[in-house]
Amino acid sequence: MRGLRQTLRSLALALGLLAWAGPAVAEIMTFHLTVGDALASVGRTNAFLASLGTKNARGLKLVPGGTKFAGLTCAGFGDVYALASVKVLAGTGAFPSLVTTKRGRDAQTLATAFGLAGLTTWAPPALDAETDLQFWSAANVPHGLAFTAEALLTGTDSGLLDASDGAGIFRFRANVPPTAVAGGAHRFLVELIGRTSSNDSGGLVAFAEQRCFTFVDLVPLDVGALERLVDETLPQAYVQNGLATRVQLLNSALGRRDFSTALEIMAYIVGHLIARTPDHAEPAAARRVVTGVFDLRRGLDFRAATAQCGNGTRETGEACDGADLGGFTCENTGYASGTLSCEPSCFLNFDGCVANPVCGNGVLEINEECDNGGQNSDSVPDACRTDCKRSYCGDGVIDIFEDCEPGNLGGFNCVELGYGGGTLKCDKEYCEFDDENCRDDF
Amino acid sequence: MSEIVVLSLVLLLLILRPVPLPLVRRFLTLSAFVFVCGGSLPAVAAERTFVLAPADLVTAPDLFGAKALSRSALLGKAVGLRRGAVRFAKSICPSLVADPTRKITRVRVLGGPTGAPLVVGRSLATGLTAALTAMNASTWFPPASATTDQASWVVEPPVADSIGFATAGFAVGNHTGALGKDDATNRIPGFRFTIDLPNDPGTGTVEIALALTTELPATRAGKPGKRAECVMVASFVPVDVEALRDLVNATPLGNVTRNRLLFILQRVQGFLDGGHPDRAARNIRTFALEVAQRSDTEILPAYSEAMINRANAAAEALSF
Repeated sequence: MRGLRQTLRSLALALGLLAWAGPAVAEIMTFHLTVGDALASVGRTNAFLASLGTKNARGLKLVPGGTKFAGLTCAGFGDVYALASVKVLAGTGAFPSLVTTKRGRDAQTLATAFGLAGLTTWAPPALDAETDLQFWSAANVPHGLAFTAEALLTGTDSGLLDASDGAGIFRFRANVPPTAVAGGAHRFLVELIGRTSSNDSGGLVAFAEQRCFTFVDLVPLDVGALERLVDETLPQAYVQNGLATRVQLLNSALGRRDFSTALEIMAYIVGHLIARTPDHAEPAAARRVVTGVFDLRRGLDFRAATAQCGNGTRETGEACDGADLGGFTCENTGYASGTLSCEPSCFLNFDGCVANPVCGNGVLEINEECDNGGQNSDSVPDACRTDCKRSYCGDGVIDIFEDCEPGNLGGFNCVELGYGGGTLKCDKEYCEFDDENCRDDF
Repeated sequence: MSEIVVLSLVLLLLILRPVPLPLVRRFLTLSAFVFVCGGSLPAVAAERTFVLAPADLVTAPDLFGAKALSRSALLGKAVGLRRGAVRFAKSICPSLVADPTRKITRVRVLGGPTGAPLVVGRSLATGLTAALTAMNASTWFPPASATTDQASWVVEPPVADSIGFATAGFAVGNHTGALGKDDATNRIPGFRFTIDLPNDPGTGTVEIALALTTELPATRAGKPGKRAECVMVASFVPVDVEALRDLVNATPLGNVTRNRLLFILQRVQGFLDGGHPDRAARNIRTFALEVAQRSDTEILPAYSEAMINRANAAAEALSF
């Protein structure tokens, strides 16, 4: 009997561990919450609460410019009330400690309503929380992360934001579960504090504050997210024959903070998608991936307000600063030897590094687009070429996603394509048939 | 002004020289017609094309609800909360994302604040003009054209002040093809319409009044499900060559690049005028590709992203 109990206990423990191990595949991902997102979330959340009806959003009332719910008014953010604080909360578990009115009943009401929104529950603390907004600071707080304007601390208007500041960014990295709401986004619970400007009361201290809970959908800005998007959205044949290697190269360029190369690869991926749509990629899917690339691109542009390129210390958004190369060397960024330096724009300069790739050794090295060792070939469609370049339009071989090569129509002519006659050409840029000189007449 | 001078001179000559009276009358009538028509034409009238994907329609009530509630101070009693939804004028716009059983079976693009009350049911018409005006709904002029690629949907016969799309079985209560929560991520364009706007929207959005008919499943066999029509305003961007031209002109660019991109768009227009939408679509892709190749070097990413996205949508609109 004792043996059985012991076995059951072990089994329960194992199951518990398994259950615990499930969500542990959470990943640390980077998010940008813009001021525009935060302000727009108020209306969106109000509409969501309205859709819940009286059963799940009991007591919801319409007030001028928004709603009142669980004792909190969400109205006039961005115009009457300037944004003074943004807290990204770990989940609905934060409500009992943040809302203590009506002996916790308001907290319960909020938890019930927001529990239906499909929020992401993430594990604090957040990492690398920063903003590009002047007079704002970031700090981890119980149940999440807070971005706060100086105005709240000093009783001035310092840092207060309205709708015209929509492009300002609150950046953070959080440990989130892999599941996301529609479109690969994670839905975060947010607490906003708005405040009237002191100008509204002729400079006298008569601030009015408003506190409101909302949710925002944020897409992660990491290569991993792009990789997943590519895998989930585009046909596997296309991914394997074109994009997968580029995304890997992008990952590697970003890993060694070689932003110039990363930008080139991103432009290439976007161009590749455009050229292969709609024949090999469904247009809506291609559009999503293009947006994903630009999301990633936006992430590279972020510069923290406190970061100062040229002060000799590498800060967020800087690949290097003066002599501070962040521990990077030519050797640990994939080059054989040489001297790595920092550009005045705080980008790494690899010009002094010497790459010594050995094409054909089966190892992907700097300046190689691919290397499949003995399988490199100049005659097999879609193979890695013997100069370690990916197959490309103009290499003389008609690859799987090409109709033709310049000077090689693969045996096709206008009549074969259903025209009456004329001269079929091959588009040099896309390696697609150019039927402009084919005639419709029979 | 020069037309007036020429007209005056001709009239003067007519008076000085003996001309048969019927001819003079005919000339004057024709002149008056030309003058009145020319004078009443909006200065920058523009025929613009828009496409809608199922996701645009399914999420529209939520987006509109957010906007209407934010503007409730301005809208006054024209907006309210009723039965778990936002009320706008007399219609209720329930969320399709919150209620998976509710489906869209008909979509009508309304002719603006004054035209809308003439089209929607009498019970919804009260106060609609003022409410749509407060939400900046655009007025457009007929004739309009529409087409659909959406499975099991058809374009309704043309009616003044409205363009309609409905499920093929709408008249008999057959819900096949109806759009609901499951379509909230379907961004494949299924509906296209072209309307004549009084003002050129440039690179911005156009607020268009829509009437969505939603239906609940039948509760009793043989009885159709409950239907409701929701009038709302949604923001759309035009997806046509003109929109791309506006974007190019609004983008900081060197002259060589600008001229190159405008040249491609001119070629697109040529193919469209010549009745070759497929070639036009291909050239729009060339436009997008050339923008992508110049992104970050000659074109700032924010601008290139806008041009590429709009070009892709315009190419898709031509593939209907």
